[in-house]
Amino acid sequence: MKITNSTSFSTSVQALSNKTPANNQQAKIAAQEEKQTSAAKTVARLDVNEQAIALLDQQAVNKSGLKSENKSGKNSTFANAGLDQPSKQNLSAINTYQSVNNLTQRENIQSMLGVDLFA
Amino acid sequence: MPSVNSSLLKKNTSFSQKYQFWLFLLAAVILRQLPFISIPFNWLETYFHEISHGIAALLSGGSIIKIELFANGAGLCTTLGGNRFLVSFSGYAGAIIWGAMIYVSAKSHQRVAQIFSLFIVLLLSVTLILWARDLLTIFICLVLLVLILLSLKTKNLKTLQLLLQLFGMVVLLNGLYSPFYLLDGRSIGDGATLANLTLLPELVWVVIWSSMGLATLFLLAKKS
Repeated sequence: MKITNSTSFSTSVQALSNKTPANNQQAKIAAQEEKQTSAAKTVARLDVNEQAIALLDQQAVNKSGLKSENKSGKNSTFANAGLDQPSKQNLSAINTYQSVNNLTQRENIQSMLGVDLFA
Repeated sequence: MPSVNSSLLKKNTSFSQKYQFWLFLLAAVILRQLPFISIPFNWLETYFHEISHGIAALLSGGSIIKIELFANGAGLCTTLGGNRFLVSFSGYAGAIIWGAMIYVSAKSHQRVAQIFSLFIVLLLSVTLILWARDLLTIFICLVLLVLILLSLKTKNLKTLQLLLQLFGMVVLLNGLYSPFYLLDGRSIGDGATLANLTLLPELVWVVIWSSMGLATLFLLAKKS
């Protein structure tokens, strides 16, 4: 039977015990670091997600903004057309002028169709 | 000796007068074959062809829009209104009539020849002013105008007479030949127009025009 010294046992135990807490600490640190990194990762992921959400929100806002702008644009063009619309007198004058032009065009076409070519 | 000479001259004169028509016909046939010299004479026939269409349109209540002459001897008369049959028929018939009129008037009297050539000058001038719209037609009309004016410028009226007779014969001969160009199987031109209007085939109209030309030549030969 082998009889070991208690001190040596204790030291060895201490050593053992000294070794394990250190290991635990390291493990803890590592775990903390891992947690931190994972937390950072998660934070980063969350940030990315937030950015994406923000982007999506912005896009949505932009889309709605465009729609509203289009609507407002239509309204504005109509409004401009309304502003640029000539008066009734001018409209009737333009129509009369165009009808005269059409008449001369019609006469020209009729005369052209009535033309005979002799070689 | 002088008596012999004068008798020879008389014989020559009588020979040329006797066979004047045939000499002009021979000269016109030769002239038609000459490469470059024949070109203005072809233009002359084309001009009378187109102006005949135009005059027929005017006489039947229509109007002339424009007359086009081309370097290759082709021509085009654009009219509005008038009798289509008359206008179509008068192209080839008119060229024959114009040729005969020029020849007969030039032969009849020197003064008549002068007046008739002045009338042609007037007609060409009116065409230039009213109906010639493109540069080529204007150029051709000017060439024809210069041709007639140069003939008029000759001091000897006998020369004018002879020149006009030659012009008349060339126009007549071209007018006799030109309907045959319609027999190309393409059914275009005055013959085709008349065929559409009358339901008589194009060939019939070519025969009619050619017969007119031959009959006119025969009458002129008989008169001479």
